[in-house]
Amino acid sequence: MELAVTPAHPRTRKRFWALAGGLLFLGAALLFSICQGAAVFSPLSAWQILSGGAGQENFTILYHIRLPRLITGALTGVNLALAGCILQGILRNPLADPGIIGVSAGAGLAAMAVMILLPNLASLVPMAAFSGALAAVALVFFLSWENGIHPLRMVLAGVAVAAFFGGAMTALMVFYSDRVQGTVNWMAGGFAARTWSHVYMVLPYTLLGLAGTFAGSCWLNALQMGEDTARSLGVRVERVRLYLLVLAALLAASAVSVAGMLGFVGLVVPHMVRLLTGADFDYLLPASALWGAALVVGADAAARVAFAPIEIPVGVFMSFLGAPFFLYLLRQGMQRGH
Amino acid sequence: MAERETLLLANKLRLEYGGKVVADGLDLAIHRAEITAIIGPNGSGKSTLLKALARLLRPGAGSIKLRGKDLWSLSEKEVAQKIAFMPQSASIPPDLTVAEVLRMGRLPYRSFWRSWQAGDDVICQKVLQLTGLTAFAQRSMGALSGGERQRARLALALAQEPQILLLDEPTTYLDIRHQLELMAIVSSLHEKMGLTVVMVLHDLNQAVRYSQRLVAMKAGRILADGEVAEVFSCELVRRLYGVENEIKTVEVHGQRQQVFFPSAVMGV
Repeated sequence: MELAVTPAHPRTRKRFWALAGGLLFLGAALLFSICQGAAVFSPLSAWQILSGGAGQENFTILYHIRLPRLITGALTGVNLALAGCILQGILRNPLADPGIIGVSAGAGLAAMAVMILLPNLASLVPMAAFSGALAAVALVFFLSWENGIHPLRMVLAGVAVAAFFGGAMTALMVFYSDRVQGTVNWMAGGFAARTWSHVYMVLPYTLLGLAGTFAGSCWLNALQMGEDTARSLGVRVERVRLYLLVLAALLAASAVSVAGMLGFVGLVVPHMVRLLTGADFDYLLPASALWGAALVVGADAAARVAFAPIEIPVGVFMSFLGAPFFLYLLRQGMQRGH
Repeated sequence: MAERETLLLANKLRLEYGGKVVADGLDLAIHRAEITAIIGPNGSGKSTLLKALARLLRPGAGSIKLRGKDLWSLSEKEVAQKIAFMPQSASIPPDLTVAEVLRMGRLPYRSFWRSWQAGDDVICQKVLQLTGLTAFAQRSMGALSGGERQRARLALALAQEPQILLLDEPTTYLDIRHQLELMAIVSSLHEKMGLTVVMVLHDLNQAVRYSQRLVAMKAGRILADGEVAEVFSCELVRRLYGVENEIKTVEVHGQRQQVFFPSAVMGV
């Protein structure tokens, strides 16, 4: 897609490494994740066990525990990273993350309400979180509507809705302080005891998100140039923005529903990747998807293994490692003037 | 005025911004291969008019026709292939390169069935040449000077291959050299390719020098509209801005040029 005669794009190599590195890192994280744990397998024996079928010893550990867990992690990472990319592009605000459209607040309140008020129906938590997230997003969209969704109003509405739902969550915690214990893990976010049913819950949205964002990358490119410029380039700004926001909401809501409150990924991955690929969404989106998956799978594996047998919630682990790393990257980028 | 094909025709236009009427009863015809400058004090509605012509703002009443067809009956893409608009300020992400910015100018021609083609490359190369940016194609926007960045934004508009180019205060934030450079590019586009240009300008000397036609607006109405030589006068400037002024003719390189000098604010 580069112009022919002019010299190569200055980021050609960085872009290559953003994609190739993401793929390598993802592969390594997946391999590490399946082999390491309370029981350690070599990659070869893990392959033999999995291809050998249900009769094998250890098949249950690999097929019913590790595999769904790491796939759920990878898909969640993809979804959060893509949602973050979309939101940062539409709002033209580097601080935008899936929380900003109300996803986290809605999912958190709904999940907590089920866990506290209906503890017998714990299996419904993912569905409740998903519905809660979408309900909150719908509310934010409704509040920010003005001939289409108005980005600035959306940020403000998002903050208001998050504060309101946050208040409701606090109220639940105060009035049912004896039952809060069971919700803490979910709120911290993680992938312990995730099963194939969780995989099937996110997978459709991951596929939808991948197809939808890659089809929409040219619109994101135009939108980040500003509304007037995008419109004069023939983009139906209102319609495209709504389509992309709905996509981001579905991606984030499905991720939160299976992973709990996993912050950080949606905010930081697009940023990190952007330092390498630049602002062109044709590269930013696929690279972010790869790095999002790699980061979540890698962090989850590390959180499992690092202090075994104690398992650190992956959200906590990611924030502690990721935040300083992110600041480092940001400094590097600033010094080079990007 | 010689009989020319009318490209854009605004009829009894009423323009509203946030529920407030900014301009009313505007009639305006933009002719092919003519450079029109819209002048007027702040808040006179000139930028709003330009936005309406760019189909960025739907008129509250009246109509705009593009070669006889209502602007709003055409699709966004159809309009974007005919009209390019350069907003007064647009914060293009600093990590995009000039080539990437230009690539977006081909968006109006892109569809599900038609992706990037060799022809698009040719056009981008041509636009880079016209704007003197060939050497800067792979520089990021953040690494450019203000003048180069403005030329890149002009290049983005030109990559749309428009028949009509709308510029909103293209020279406002530039130093004098970059102002001249930009206006020289605009005039050469007009001379070589017969591009139709409508620009909002604050600098009256630039308006007089680079356009054939002046549209003077004040408080949402058109006060004067015609060929520069007929319309531009001390009296018009007084009525528009309330400024005492002198207009002299100087000869530069054998060409007679009107030069305007504001001497004092009236009534002070």
